[in-house]
Order: sequence, then structure tokens, then C-alpha cells
Amino acid sequence: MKDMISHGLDRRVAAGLLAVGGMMAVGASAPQPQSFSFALTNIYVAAYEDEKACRALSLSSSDLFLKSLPPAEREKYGAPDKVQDLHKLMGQRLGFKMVPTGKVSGPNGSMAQLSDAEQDALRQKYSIPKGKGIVAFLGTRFAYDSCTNPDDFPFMQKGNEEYRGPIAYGIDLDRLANKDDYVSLDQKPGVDNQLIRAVGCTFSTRDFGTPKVADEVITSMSSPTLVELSGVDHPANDDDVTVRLYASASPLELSGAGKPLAWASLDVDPDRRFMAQVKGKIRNGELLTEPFDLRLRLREQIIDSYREVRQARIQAKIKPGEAIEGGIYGYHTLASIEDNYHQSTQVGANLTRMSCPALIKAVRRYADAFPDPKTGRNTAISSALRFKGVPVFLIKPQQVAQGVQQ
Amino acid sequence: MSGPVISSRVLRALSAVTALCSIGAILMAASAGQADAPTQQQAQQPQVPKFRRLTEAQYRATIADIFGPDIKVSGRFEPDMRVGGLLAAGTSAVSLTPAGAEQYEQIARGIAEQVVDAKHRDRLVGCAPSASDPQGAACAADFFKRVGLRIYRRPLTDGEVKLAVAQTLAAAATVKDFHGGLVIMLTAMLSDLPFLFQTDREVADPSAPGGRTIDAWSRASKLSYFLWNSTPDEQLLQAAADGSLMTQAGLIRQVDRLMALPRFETGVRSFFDDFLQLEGMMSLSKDGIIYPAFRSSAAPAAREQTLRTITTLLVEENGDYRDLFTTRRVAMNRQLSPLYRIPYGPRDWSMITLPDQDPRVGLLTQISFLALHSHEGRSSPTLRGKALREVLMCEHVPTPPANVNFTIVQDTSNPAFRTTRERLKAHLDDEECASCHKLTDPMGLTLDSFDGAGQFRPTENGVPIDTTGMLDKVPFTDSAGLGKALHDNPKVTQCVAQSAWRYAAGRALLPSEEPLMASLHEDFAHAGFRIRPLFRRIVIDPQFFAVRAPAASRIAGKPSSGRKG
Repeated sequence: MKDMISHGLDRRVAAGLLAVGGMMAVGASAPQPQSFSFALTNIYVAAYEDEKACRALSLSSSDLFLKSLPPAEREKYGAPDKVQDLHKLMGQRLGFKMVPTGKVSGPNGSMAQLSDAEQDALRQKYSIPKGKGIVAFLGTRFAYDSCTNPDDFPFMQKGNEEYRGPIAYGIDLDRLANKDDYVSLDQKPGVDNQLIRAVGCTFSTRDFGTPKVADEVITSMSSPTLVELSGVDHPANDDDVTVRLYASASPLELSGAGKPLAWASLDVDPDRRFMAQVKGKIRNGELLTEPFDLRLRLREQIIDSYREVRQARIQAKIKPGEAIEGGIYGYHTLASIEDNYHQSTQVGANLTRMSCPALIKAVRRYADAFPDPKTGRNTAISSALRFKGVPVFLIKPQQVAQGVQQ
Repeated sequence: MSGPVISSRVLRALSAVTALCSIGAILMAASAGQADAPTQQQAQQPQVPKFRRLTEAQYRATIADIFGPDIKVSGRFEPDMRVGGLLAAGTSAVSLTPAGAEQYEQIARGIAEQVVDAKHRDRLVGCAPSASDPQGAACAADFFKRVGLRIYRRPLTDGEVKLAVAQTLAAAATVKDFHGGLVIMLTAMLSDLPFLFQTDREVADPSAPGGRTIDAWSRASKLSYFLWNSTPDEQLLQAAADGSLMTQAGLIRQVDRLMALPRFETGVRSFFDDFLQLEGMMSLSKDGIIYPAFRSSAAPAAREQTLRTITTLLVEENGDYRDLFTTRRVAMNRQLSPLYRIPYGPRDWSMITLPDQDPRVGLLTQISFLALHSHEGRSSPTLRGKALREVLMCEHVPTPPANVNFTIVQDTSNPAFRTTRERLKAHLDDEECASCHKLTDPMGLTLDSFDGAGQFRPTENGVPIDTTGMLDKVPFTDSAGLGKALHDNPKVTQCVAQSAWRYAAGRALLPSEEPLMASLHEDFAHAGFRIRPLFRRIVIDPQFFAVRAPAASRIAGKPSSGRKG
């Protein structure tokens, strides 16, 4: 059996990581900078619990379709136990398609690739309009519906409710006092979070976006986001730390209690699109980064997509050896939001009771940053994403290769 | 399954007949080799047990060796019995219950059906009825001669072959299928005592006039099951057939061959699995709320970790057994690294060296020992100390009286007693308890910086854990010191040597074998406490193949490696 020097890692790094536990254990000061790493178990659009913030829940695509039916049919399909039949009828009437591609999903829950020619062949074979539809369900299906092509179903753009509460998660991103700013949970004004205005009254945001629920959910399990803090002289106060973000090439594992497993060794995905680095500081145990652009992988069940946030700032409470919990505040690009909706397909829309056309229209409407130089339309929307994470060890490709026989 | 399926009723009726015949065959075989009657002095010496039931691991390995690893062995086995800390020593003390016989028969039937099914019969049966052999009698004879040698680990007698053929043809006529007949007869043989039990058949010792020993076939089995934990291979059977195994030179040739092959590692692995009682890991569970990192995969992985560490250090690297207690090297994988709180890069197992500042040193700080000898939701210095005394030092710790009040030790949230040491101290106010705890706790408390799942914890309820301890008047301050104390304690090496002997013999130690144990340990020490020389020393000792306990007056000497047969 081949021996690996200190677990296949550089000895200094490994010793530093191990020193975290040791230091916490005996309260001794660390002789050299340390590193802390975490896997984020859920990153979500955070919703503040305010029962009066929504006049009503936003209408789903099937609600809108039902409203479009003649009275007799509306009567027939309006009962809660007829929802499956309603979805089926909607698909038939509106020409939705969900056809097999003949592919299997890629490794570790990734999207299988289909060439343009293969996609055109599927369109032709299944009578999908030219240029329409997308590869979905990790490449195993080709779909055409109100989520893949929301502009084809304009009647479903109605019925979205605006979040009208005064309080929202987030920070003051633009240092300006605007009339549509919110107040933070700790009563700080100027919170920029137009994303919650656009999507804050959907069923899934109201029910699953509150931290007490969302923090118990694990998303992107097959490829969680990894956060690494390095150059930490003191875990509670340090004015100069480096923060790096990666996608994991290893799935998150569960503990015996069904929670995310701490201290697992997770491989860093070498895909540079999901890497970011920024300077930050730690004050009283809270990490604050400078603004930076980041892209996070979102790989969950049927989706292999991404979240892209420009001028993002991370603010998070750090408990070395225990947890990280905080937020990513910045401007979420419309392109990444719309890609999420596209990939969710009508199946996802039906399950989460949303209308992709209405949400995409709302997000475009409330977008408040990074105007396109040509069209003048904003391409990003202020947002607040919350996250929670467990301590892990990061294994970088070169570190695996560093293992040598003793 | 495309093979013939035989009704249980037919099978039972036929296999019962063959089983009875075979039992008779054993008895005949056991006495057939007796060239001379034992002398009066020999007759006064107690006989050693002649039969040892195959363990489940041996059964599975044997089937894989005879028929191939793709033959599935499904079913529940008769439970093994631990005697003197070893399951192997219990193999000569267990019998076959009626329920157990039925279970073995079901397992055998599953195997036999696979052997003759369409997928395997060309390779494993190799013949079928033909124009020149319309009933398949010649085919059956050929098959049972070939397979019978491997199953019974000795050649079938002509009478046994004839019986097997006759019963196969009779069964084939009943079920109207030749292969169905093979299934019935093969099931019977695999359910039969000569297969299920290793048998020592007594003969006159050709190298010691007037002496008694076991025959070459029995020697082959004994060697193979000790050194490989499986059935003899063809070369070993050939050495039995040509008689060379009855000579010291021929024996040594085979021993050296068996130990030079990679399968020797399996034999050493099996010994330590038994010696350290690691099969307990397979049914070990921990409270998922208290120890979330101890997942269902952790216990099997921890067992594997210990066995890989041992075989790497002792077999591959021919290391000193004592160093197991002081080494910082350990086999690791990603299932276990979270419990050790270390980063681990490789995708599979590999040996790592823990950093110098890591609190873990040696075998006792591996998850297997720490978690196995703990409670479901808390550590136990007493259980750990008891295991250390009993398993690693072959000492006996009395069981606690039935009326002990454990309330204080079990209440880990009592603010008055925040550490295990404090709770045990309070518990030891009872002098009757204290007398036994003195044997176990001074070492066990040193390991209390590892919780019930084997994870490091420098504090308990916010109080730093005092890891000072003592073993046989040797004081230490931490688990590294405990490891060093074990490394230097002669009881530890005496225990493993004596256990290896009992494991090899498949029985308890006989009082008259004490001098042999002393000699064994002396040679073990001279060989730098290396496992290979120890195992070799055991199998070339004449007592290994003896049919009686050594005479009380025997002065154990070193076996001659050059004795001519």
C-alpha cells in the first residue's frame, strides 16, 4: 500500500488545518496563519417572515391556465384533486413537450451534452417549433414549455404579486437611499433587494425561503459550493484574510443524524468558472469581504445551472470548527436567474406552483443594475442570498497528486 | 436460475442418506490410518480435539476457491463461539444443531444449483450424458472424484465415488434430470460433516517411531486454514498425495510456499480479525444524535482500517508487532477521515502518517478499538481497559456483580461529576467495585480523550480531560505513553504468540503446552517480534500436528527445520 504524506496534502497546509481543532481544543494561540474551509449546504433567496408583505400568493402557471378555460372546464379541473389532470390538459393544449434525448446524465449529476444537430433532430422528430426548447433534466430530456420559452406564453406573465413588506434581508449595496429600499432585520435602512420584491410572494419563497426552514434543507448536494478562508491569524479578528470559492467535485455526504457531514474531504472542481477569490476581514467573528464577481454552481436533481452575482459581498458569522452562516449580497444576473427557470421546466413550475413567464417578467422589470450598453436595460437585480455551511477539508487536484510514497 | 430446482422433500430424503454414510466414512477414515495402537504412555496423555467446524469466513473462502468467486453463498450460518477470546478456539467446541444442519443444507443447495446451472456447468461440471455414457455415470464419477477431493479435502474412496454416482443417478431418475441429480448429490456433500468440519485423522508418525500424528490430508487442511483461512490448493493437495507433507523438509517447502504467496496476508488478517474481535464492528451502532459522524459505513471501514494497517506493517513490511502500539501510520479512506478530522485526498485506501502533534498513536487510538469498547452514546474507560487486559494481554478481568449501581457513571450531564474520571471515582467508593476497576481504569482513562465513537475530545463538559494513567506500575501521561507501555510489556507479545497458537490449533491451550508457549515466545522475541517467523514457527512445531497433548515432562525445544522424513 502506498503511503501518503499527511493525507495527500502539503504538510504545512495539513498541519494548519489540524491546528484549528487543536487550537480550539486547548485555547493556545496559533503560531502561523490558519485556513478554514466550509461546504455550503444551501444557498437560497432569503425571505423575511411577514404575513402582511403579500396581498396574496402569486399565481402559478396552472392557475393562469385554469382561469383561461371556459367555465365548464374550469369547473371540471378546478378541484384540488384534479391538479394532475389540469397539468396534463395544459400540456396538451399549449403544446408542451418533454421528450427523451437518449442520453444519460453526465458524471456527478452534470448535464449531458447534445450538439445543435442532435437538438434540431429532436425538434423535427417531436414537432417542436424551430429554435425552441432546451436540453433539460441533465440532458436526458428535451423540453418545450412555459419555462423553457416563457415569451411564447404571454398570458402566463400575469398574476405575480409584489413583495410589499418593509423588511428584507440584504445590505445597502449602492450607498444610496432610494424609495424602494428595504430596512434590514436589524433596522438598518437602504437595503437593496429587488429580487425579493419580484419573487417574494411565490409559494416556494414564502414556504421554503425562511431560514428556519431553508437552513434545514440541503441543495446542490452533488456539487456544493466550497468556501475557503486562508491567511487567518486570528479567527475572531483579522483585517487581512483571503476568501476563495469553488464548486465541489464531490457530493456532500450525510451524517448518521441525516445532516450534512462535517469534516468530510471534498474535491475542488478544477472548473475555473466556479472559482473566485477576494480579500476580506474578520471582525468579532464576522467575515466581511470586498465586492467581487462570483459564479456558484447550482446542481440539484434535474438542474445543472449556476448563480451569478456581480459586486457580491459576503458577510458571515464564522465559528471555526463548527459552522459558517451568513449571506451573499450583490447583483444577481438575469441571465443566471432565467437559466434556473428554463431548466426547471414546466415540471418544476408545477411542483413549486410558480409561473416562469410571470417571474421572469417581474425580475426583468425590477432589475436595477448593470444596464446593457446597447439596450439600456438592466441585466442584474439586487439580491440577498443566505447560506449555512459545515466545516470540511478541501482537496485540490494538485494536492491529491502530491501524495508520495514514504 | 436456469439450473434444475429440486424439491426440498426429495433433497432432504436423499441427503440424509448420504450424510449418514459420510459420517460413517469419517469414522472409518479416522481409524483406518492407525497403523499401531498408541503406547500406554501415549494413551494416558489427553487427546486434542479432532474436529473443527469451518467458520463462516472459511466456508465462503472455500467455496470461492473450489467453484470460483462468482458462486454466491447465501444464508445464515450457525453462530461461532468464542473460547478464550478466539472464535477459532471455539471451532473445536461447537457442534451442528438440527436447525444449523438445515441452514447449511439450504446454503449448500443454493451453491449446488449455481454450480450446475447453464452459466457454470461447462466450466465446473465439464461433462454431460452422451451416447457412450447415456446415464452420465462416467461423467458423475469424474465430477465427484475431482470435486470431492476439494470438498472433503482428501480423495474419495472408491466406495464413496460409487455411492455418489449411484445416488446421483437415482436422484436423476427421480427428478428426470441428470443435472438435477448432480445438484442433489453435491448438496449432500456440501452439507456433510467432512466438508463442514476440518478433521484430524490419526496415523503413525513416520518421522518418530512409535509416535502418532495426523495424516497428510489433515495436515494440508490444517496448514491451509491457518495460513490462508481457506481450503488447500492443488499443490498442497499434491504434497499430501505424494507423502512429502509427512516429511519435515516437504512440510517446510509447502509452508514457505504458502507464506510467500499474497494469500498469506489473508491468513494473518483473519487471525487479527479474530484476535481483536473485530467482527463485533459489523453489528456496532452508535447514537446518531450524539455521534453524527459515525455513519453506518464507519464501523466496517474502521474494521478494515485496522486490518489493513496490521497487514501492511506486519506482512508487507515485516514489521515488529510491538510497533503497532506506537506507530503514527494508519490506513485511511474517506469514510473514516471525518472521524479523524483530517483531510484525505486519495479516492481509495492508503497508508498515511499522522502529524506529530496528532493525539493518536497506535492501534489503541484507532476507531475500531475505541468505538468497539464503548457504549452506544458514551465512552467507557472500563470497557477499554478490560479489552486491553483481556484481548491484548490475555488476562482475565472478573465480570461485575449483577447488583452494581451504574447510575453515577451513566449520567454524563451531572454537574457534580463532569468528567468520566470524576464519575468513576465516585463509583469506586464501593470497595468491591474498586478491586476490578483498578485493573482496567488506569489505562482506560488515558483513552478517554476519545469519545464513544473514537473521535478526539480534549475536554468533557468544558473540563480538560486528565489522561494520566498507569499500566503494571508504568506511569504515562497520554495515549502515546500508554502505547509505549504496551510496546514494552512482555505480556503483550506473550499474548499474541499464545493466541496465534490457539488460533492455529483451533482449541484452548492445554496446561502441558505452557513450556511450548515459552519457547514460542522466546523464538518470537529472537525474530524481532515479527509475525512471519511466529506463524512459521507454529506450523513446523511437531505439536501442531500432534494428536495428543505433550507429555508433562516434555521440554519444549525448537523444531528442527532440517529433519528428514
